Amino acid sequence: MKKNTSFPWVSHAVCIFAVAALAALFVFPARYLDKMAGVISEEGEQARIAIMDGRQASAQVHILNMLREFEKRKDSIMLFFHHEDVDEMERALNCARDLVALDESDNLICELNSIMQIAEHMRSVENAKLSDIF
Amino acid sequence: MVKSVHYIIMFILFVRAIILYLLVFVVIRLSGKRQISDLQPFDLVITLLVADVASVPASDTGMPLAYGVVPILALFLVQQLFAWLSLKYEGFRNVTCGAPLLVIIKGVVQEPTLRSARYTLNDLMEQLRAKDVFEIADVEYAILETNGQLSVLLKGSEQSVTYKALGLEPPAAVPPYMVVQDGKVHEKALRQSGYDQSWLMKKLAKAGIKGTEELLFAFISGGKLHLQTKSNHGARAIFLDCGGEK
Repeated sequence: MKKNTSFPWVSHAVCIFAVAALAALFVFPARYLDKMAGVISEEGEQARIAIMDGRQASAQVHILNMLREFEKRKDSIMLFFHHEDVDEMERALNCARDLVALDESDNLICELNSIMQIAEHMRSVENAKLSDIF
Repeated sequence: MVKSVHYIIMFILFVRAIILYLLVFVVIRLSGKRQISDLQPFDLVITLLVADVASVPASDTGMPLAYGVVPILALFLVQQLFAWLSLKYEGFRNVTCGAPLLVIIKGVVQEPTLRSARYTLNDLMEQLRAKDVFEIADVEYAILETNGQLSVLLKGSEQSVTYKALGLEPPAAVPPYMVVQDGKVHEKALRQSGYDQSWLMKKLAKAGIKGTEELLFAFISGGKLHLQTKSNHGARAIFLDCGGEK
């Protein structure tokens, strides 16, 4: 039998840990997402311009840069995003790589648009609206 | 303020968890005391919600674990805040936990009070029976506590006779100490009881027991040593006086 318990201290410690964990979840992962989404948007835009100008080799370089950036950060973003969204982006990037090799400009532009849409969704400058909560 | 979608998702999860906590809390608080058992409403809410929140990311492998972690941490923090506020402020405690209700006063069942607590006569009888009281006539006061439990004060004629009422010297009130459990000696409990291992071994030898490994348990309570041997040693219950040398 015990005369007292260490529970209040444990409870306080867990509260501090919970606040710290929440703060970390709010702050740190955003860095990964913003950086990756920024690179993919930028490279995607340049790839689109290159395709329109008929510079397939340049477009291929930009698409490979996008793929490399995605592969580098894939595991990190899977911690904070629905895995279906991440898989969808991977599929679109692989498809774009194949299409540029096959020289299918029309389909490639469509695929690039969808990639950039997902990237924008990840870092889009949105504010939380009341309707989002409900 | 919130700049990326990541923030928005986490923020939405956080706010939603708090809104749902408050909503479920209000529903439980308003649904009457018989819905609550042993727990205060703000404790019961977290019990109900956490399991459900945790089950979603546990079963959906496509969902990041963070989507389960954020609401659980939010619920935990709100519950801690409620517990702290109810400790600190009586007014807050009255709002969140309610106040005890007198449902029987001087043997008279308070019908309006029962009705206000959504407590039926069947519920009252059930709780009384759980307290070994089978007739309302035996009850002087019954109080419905904030956690839904019933406290009963019997009429004087129905109360147990005490040492004090009989003018007798009561035995010293000391807690029982479990000094052996499953053959293992609890050194700390043995020390707290005021005895040591050599004393215990002497007592065991007197009872014909070779060692503590033969014991299922040993209690020291009210100046008695209560032993029981394991089933493979006959499952004997032995009572010895603790008296003598310590």
